[in-house]
Amino acid sequence: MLIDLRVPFSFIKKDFLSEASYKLHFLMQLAGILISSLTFFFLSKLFDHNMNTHLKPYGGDYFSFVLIGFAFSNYLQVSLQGFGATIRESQLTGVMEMLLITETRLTTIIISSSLYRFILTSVHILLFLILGVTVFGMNISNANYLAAFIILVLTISSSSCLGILSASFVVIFKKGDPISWLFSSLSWLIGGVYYPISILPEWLQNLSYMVPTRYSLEGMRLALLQGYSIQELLSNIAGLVFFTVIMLPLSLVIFQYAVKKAKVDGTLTQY
Amino acid sequence: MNRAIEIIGLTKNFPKHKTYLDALIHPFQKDCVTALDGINLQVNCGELLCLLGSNGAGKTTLIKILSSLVLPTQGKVFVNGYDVTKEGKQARRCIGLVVSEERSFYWRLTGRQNLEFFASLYKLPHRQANKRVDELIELIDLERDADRMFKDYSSGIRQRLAIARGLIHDPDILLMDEPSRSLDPLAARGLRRFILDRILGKKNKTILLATHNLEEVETFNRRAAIIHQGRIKVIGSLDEVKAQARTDSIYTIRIEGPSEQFISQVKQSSFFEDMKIVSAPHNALRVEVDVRVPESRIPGIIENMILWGGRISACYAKPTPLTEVFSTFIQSDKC
Repeated sequence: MLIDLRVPFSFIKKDFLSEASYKLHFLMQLAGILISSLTFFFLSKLFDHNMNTHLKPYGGDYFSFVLIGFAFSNYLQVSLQGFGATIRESQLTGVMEMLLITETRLTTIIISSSLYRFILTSVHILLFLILGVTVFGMNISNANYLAAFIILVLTISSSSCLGILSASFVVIFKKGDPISWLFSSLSWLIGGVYYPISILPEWLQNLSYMVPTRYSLEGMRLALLQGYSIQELLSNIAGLVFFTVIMLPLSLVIFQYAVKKAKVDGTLTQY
Repeated sequence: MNRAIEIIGLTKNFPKHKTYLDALIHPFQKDCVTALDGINLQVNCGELLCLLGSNGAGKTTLIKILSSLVLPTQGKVFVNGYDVTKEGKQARRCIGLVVSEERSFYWRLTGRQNLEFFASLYKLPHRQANKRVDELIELIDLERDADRMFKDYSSGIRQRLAIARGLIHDPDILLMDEPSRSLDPLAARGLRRFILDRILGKKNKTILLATHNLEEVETFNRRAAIIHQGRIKVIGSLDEVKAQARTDSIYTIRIEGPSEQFISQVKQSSFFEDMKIVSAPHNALRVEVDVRVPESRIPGIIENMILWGGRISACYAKPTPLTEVFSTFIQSDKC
């Protein structure tokens, strides 16, 4: 078991060492978090009263609403695009074939090489929340952290399934992955990142049930801002579980097929 | 003798890239390009076999199939007895891949960190991995520079590090794809010496080395296979390969103090290839005439030269350059 954990740990260490060597980029990321938080803070001054009825289920504060939406949508983006991006990056740099020649399975390589992005995103989200609470007065004193954690895990698992599906397209087509494009676009439009889903026309609200972002962000906001219990969040949890159960085996089968096809076509390491 | 690599009737077809028009007109038509065509090859344990071929001959495809990065269309490929298609994981454990692609390393990690990272992918326990990395760093003489970033290394060091990476899990077989491609002549020579002395000599590994560099093959002077258009044209020791080429040998005949008439007669003859004046004692005239004929014709030519008044002092066969042998095989279907 200890030996098996070495692979993910090595990827995290390798990515951290590489990333930390770009010092300016590291600092700019931190500055970016502050600037985004400030932008949402001033934006919230404009929307606070006008959208009160739509924001009421989440406590009525637009800043808290959008900060959680923006911060946690990063998880969705990393899950959705991270796996495909890892494959693409390895193909472009030429490291891919040296990874595949080892005894480590491709799925382990793909998942392990995305871990650092998840850790970095977690740090970013933590910083967002700390800034929100300490500087901008966001209130998460009633938060149900256990429920939030469950939603978080299910968010990562459900969107990772889409991410693996997206990676399958990258393996075969290299560029032009429709899954990532479709779900990213839909997440921004109908996932409730910047505005509550209730302001959308009814047909778009119905369509939003097809996107895991809806269940994630709604569940996360209700858990953190309103302190909802696990029982109260069952519909969100069920939506994410349903996505994971259906998509995980499907995405893995498609990914294996994509790798086999690329090996037959000789394009696995091409870009 | 134990076989490290055994390839039986290997064929690889790649789908042909379709233009938009082709895809529209014939959406279901599958055109193929044959990269390897019925390859049969055996590499014995502990030997170095050079796979010589021009660009696009199929060398890299063959190495990728051995590495289980590409699946064969037909045929069987065994590495240490493991079928690479069905037992890919076991086969990969037996091989180390050395490529000349410098981007296949993490440039902002040090040499040591790169080796440690790849060691972890072979799931070596931490202590064993560290020991192995230290050994390899010593093997490639990188002790002083092991903790410098990869981006700061010269091409020569990078290539040695590529070899060290290939050896990280102590495989029995090394597959080298043009290891000296990006090196200057001196660094390339150093690398060849390193492969012969340290990898083959000390480590006793089996090496399949793909190259288009004829000098490299001559330097190694081991068994070689010439591959062209996906087919093995010839395989054997360099002498055997040269013999099979059946090119006419070049003979040099040395003549002392030839007359002008003699020289003109030689130049007009059908066997004449080249002539040069060489130094002789007391400023006497001495010429060497190269003739390209089968060995059986040499006595007749010498007889003629004596009749023309030539004083012959030496006659010897020149070694056939590998370039000539190589071009013979790739320009015709001799074998």
